[in-house]
Amino acid sequence: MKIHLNECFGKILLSCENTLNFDGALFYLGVRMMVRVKVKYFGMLREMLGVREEEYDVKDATLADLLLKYIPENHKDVSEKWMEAIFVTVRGEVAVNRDGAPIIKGHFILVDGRSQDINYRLKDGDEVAILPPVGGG
Amino acid sequence: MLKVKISEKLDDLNSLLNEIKGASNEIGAITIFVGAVRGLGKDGEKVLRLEYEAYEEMAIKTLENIISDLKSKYGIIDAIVEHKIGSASVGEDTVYALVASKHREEGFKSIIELIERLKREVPIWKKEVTDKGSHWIENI
Repeated sequence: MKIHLNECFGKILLSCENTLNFDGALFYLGVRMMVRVKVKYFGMLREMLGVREEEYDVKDATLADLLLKYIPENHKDVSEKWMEAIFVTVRGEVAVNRDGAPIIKGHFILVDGRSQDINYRLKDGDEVAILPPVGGG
Repeated sequence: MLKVKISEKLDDLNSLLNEIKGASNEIGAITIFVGAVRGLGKDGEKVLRLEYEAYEEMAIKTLENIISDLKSKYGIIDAIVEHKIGSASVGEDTVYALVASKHREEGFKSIIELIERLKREVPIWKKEVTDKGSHWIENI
């Protein structure tokens, strides 16, 4: 969706590009959009959480936020097991790499079928699939 | 042809064999792998059944990519892979892989690589249910 900033947000923005997409305009204004993402679980994770898929409304969130905050908060009864299954932990704390990003343990995280960095910023309609180590054959 | 199927019910193996035989008159070898449920776990416990599940769309895409790689690498003519999902009892077939090639050598190499990559890369999971409990199997 394209909007003209000078039509919607007044003179204060006239010095900027006069055309941005809607999310871009709101980001510029410091407004964070709530986005809805679908999360799919398989195998051991599906069994642990007791659900195959669910939706989350997240605000200005990365994949790391989803895994570290949103999902364990929604599944408090198994949040410790979740953290231990998904992340490398040291004395109960999630280990981080040099960039401060949490280290995933043996799982693949796909967004719309593609591997993404843990700092990927979630977008509305994203489908996140969390894949435990495979075991077919 | 390149047929990949993830299903609760595998097709009849003979019909798959006839299907792939008809793919080309250049075929001189068909190499087949059949995976079945073993009745003993790794610690000797009695296996009651396996329970499979898959991320189906990704599993199909990954298998198609593997077969495409094998065509480029070994020049095989065609392949069919079927993998079971759901519950499988002891002795039941769970995987059919058929590779059609001009000669046996590329067929042998391809079938090994196909199954090894299937076990490492394709998003399928299995839980082994035994008389002593159940656990998820990881192919590492």
